Amino acid sequence: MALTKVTGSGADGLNLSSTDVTISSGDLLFATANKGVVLGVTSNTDSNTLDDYEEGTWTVTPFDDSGNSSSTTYTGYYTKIGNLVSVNVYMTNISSAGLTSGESVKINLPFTVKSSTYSVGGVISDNVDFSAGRTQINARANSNDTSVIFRGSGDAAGDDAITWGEISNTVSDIFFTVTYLT
Amino acid sequence: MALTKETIQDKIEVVGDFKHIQVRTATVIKEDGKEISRSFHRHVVAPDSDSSKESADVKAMVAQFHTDAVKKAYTDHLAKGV
Repeated sequence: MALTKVTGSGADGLNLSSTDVTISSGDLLFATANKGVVLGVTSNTDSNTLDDYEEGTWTVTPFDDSGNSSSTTYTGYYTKIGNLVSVNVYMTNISSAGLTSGESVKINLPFTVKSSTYSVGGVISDNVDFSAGRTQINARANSNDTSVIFRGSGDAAGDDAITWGEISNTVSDIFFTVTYLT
Repeated sequence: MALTKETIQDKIEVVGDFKHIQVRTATVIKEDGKEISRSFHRHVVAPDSDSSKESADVKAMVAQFHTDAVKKAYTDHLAKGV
């Protein structure tokens, strides 16, 4: 007789049928780290294996090209699925004190950005004084680094970095999400 | 019922061309010794980061991987505007 149930502590745990595997309650756990589920193929290939999922936070610290950090920090939220990281950041009343006016506004990330990739995410800005010709900004995760830079763009204007001179001290807000490869 | 809370660095990885050190800090809540909650907080130590406040494990990895050659290559990379 074929095995159809795996039972523990008097209750059905794992139910097997000719087409499905059902876990009656609880989660699917692997006893070894970095193991995963192979999806969509019938052989075990790395590129088809979902072997990582993680949710968490990191401390978001705005900084300039010279490495000077803002005195205001924030909690950012991330979700990592395989090699894809999605982050959500909500920065209010950003302090630009001590930061270099002509240098880029940068934000640290929780995972290193994959080499030769440039992922772009949406931004809402409040009281950011765009330079001439720029009407919107986007967040760009920087290749081979752990930072986001903000790029201003507009009709018939070349894109350029949002600088600390465009941030109004303890007034400007920036909210953004970006999804990038790691 | 005894609740305990501990903070541990449960994953430290070296990744990428410039040996960024990714550190995951886990906050673990246990009830009578059994884990009931685990949450994660992350940070990354770049070759140009101040590592003076890092843990001994991370400092050891900084010493091993963030060589002068790696630091210069990373600085040059940033200068290109990545």
